[in-house]
Amino acid sequence: MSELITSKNLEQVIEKNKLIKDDILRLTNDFTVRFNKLGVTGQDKLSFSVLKENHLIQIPIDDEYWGGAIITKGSIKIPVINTAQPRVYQYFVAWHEIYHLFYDLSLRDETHNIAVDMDLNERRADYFAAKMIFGNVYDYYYSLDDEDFIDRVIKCMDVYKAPYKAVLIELFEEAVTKYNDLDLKEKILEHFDNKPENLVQKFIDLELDAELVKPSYVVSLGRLEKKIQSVMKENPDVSHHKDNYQFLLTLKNKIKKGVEGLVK
Amino acid sequence: MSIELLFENRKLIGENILNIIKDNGYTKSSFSRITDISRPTLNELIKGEVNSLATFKTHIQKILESQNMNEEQLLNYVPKSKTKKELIFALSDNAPENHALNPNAQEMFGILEDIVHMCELYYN
Repeated sequence: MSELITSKNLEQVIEKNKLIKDDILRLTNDFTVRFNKLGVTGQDKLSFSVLKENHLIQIPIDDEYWGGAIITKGSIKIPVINTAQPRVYQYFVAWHEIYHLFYDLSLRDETHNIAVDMDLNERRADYFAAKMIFGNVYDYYYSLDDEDFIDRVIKCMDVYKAPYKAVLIELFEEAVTKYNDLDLKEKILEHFDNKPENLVQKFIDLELDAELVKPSYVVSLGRLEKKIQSVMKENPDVSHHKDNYQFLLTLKNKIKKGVEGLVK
Repeated sequence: MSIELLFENRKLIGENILNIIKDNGYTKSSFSRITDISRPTLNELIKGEVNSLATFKTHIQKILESQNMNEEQLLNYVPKSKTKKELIFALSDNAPENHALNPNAQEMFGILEDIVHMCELYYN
């Protein structure tokens, strides 16, 4: 479980980030070299394309807190993203889960398992996500002409496709550790716990694409459907593959009915 | 061998049923459909918690027929697969401690568990 970050523990979070920064930057470089051989440039597309190669399940779950998971069962690891959450969260969660998928020592085989501080482990996953998403958000924030603090933050959300709090944490870190920007620090602390209530309308008012702050409700079961179809073709006499395939279609229909209920 | 003997050993029979499900590529739900046993009853059978001999007999007969097995084979079933680890989650979840999932979310997690079980069968 990720710790809930508030204005009260924001400085502690930045202190934790200092401890893991070098390690996480090494991992972001490693990721780019090993997993982006095709040179995908959109960070949102890159994270999803890598997860899809690892059988990503996209499923809408009606829960505002549950963003996703890596489910380990036997020898397999399956990434899951909750598509009932706004797209900005999905993009962040995708990178968070990539950390768990490739770099989380607590999810390795039992023989390689070591004692892991779970709070710090989650901080590492969040920090990895932030470092994969953000470029120079501090300079971008100051390049904006708008006077209103919230408008600037929303424009940062739009450019980096990042959640409200993630933008503020990144700005806070730069303001505190790099520029000693006390004015920005105070503004962030003042607004951190008061996320704007109607982000969709705020995006529309600022002439931005509001889809980013809406759920996508995508339903995808990875390549499971095709995999079972191909096994059925190879083994036409084995009846339980056909049975499992029908069962999978039933599950898919149930999910789609659930989506209809959420969209209404 | 009689079904009464199986009934006396219903905890073991439950474990064997679960192993038959795993070894043959079924999910609990797909197995419940092919045997025409409801999912809750199947869960009770697997846990060895069916306390009525008549009910136990009816359902065990269905399993024996669907698997083309006799009572002795069911009692002495040797699992092909070693026991798999339970689901391990690396969650992205910062819910407050007293947060409860709503029924729709609970249902979706049930579906997700079935899908992951199928992933385990087909991606290994």
